[in-house]
Amino acid sequence: MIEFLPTPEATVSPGVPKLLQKGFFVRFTQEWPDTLPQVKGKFFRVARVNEVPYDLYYTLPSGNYRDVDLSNQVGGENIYPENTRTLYEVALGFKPGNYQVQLYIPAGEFVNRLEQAGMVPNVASATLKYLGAFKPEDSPYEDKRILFYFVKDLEPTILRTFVDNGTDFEKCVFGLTVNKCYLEQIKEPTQEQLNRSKELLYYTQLRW
Amino acid sequence: MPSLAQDMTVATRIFAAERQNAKIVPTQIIVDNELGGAQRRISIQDVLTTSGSIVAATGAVVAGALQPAINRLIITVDNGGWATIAAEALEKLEILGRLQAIIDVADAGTVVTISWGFK
Repeated sequence: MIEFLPTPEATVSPGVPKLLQKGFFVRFTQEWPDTLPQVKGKFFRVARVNEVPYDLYYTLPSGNYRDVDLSNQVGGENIYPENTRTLYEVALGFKPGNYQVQLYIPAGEFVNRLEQAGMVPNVASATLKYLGAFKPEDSPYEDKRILFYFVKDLEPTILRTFVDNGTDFEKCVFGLTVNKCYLEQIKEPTQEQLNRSKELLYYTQLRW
Repeated sequence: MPSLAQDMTVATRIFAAERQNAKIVPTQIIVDNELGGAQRRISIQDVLTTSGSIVAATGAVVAGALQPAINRLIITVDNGGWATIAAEALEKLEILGRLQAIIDVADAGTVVTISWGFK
């Protein structure tokens, strides 16, 4: 699942944690595929968490892009869990620069598109390169607003990182906070637990 | 915040190695040519290595490579003179890779001082 947190309209005190904490509940929808039986349609309590910071960086020429694969495939950045009882909640933020990021999951499948035919991201187009693209100011390094939810064997998530015209080179620095969540299944959750849980959609539910 | 003063006895002086997860932002540059042998020209350079990428317009694959040094700032200082460039004037100067200074003619009498931070 991919989530983009909007800018808060108000501040509350005490603050609300952005990331999952110990004791929180999560439920995976029935749309998760049969190939992920460890989570499909299941309900869990977060038994413990461990936040792991990590930075990725790429220096790219203007007009070029790089597909950054967050999965554990060969050539990937290995940001996916290996344990079936682990959920990675990954917060992504960007250091400033003249670049943008479009999301694909799996490779070649746009996350953000519009309904009219042809309205899909395209870094080779003068106009469509801006469609569905996150810029550094959308999710600052110090206030990460893009959240991913990764489980073992989920299809690869690709960050197409494109350096726009107007500079010779750009250094694209991604700040990640990998919130490792160890899950305990609850087979018969109460209605109150269901009401308090965070629903984790499968990415296909974000694309219609 | 680091700062380093080096004479330009050799034509190239490295001030800071690349920090991979940040850009180097010079906050002050001083060129002291009071004891220099002649008017000198100092270039502040960025030496970077690109990651592998793809050209958006053509789809051509480009391997990562060390790039030729890029001049980010050039300062000419008269013989017997100084130049000081402070933070306000350097606000937009970013070094993506290694920060180094070169001089047109090596001169032990020319001293370059650079202070920098990271972004």
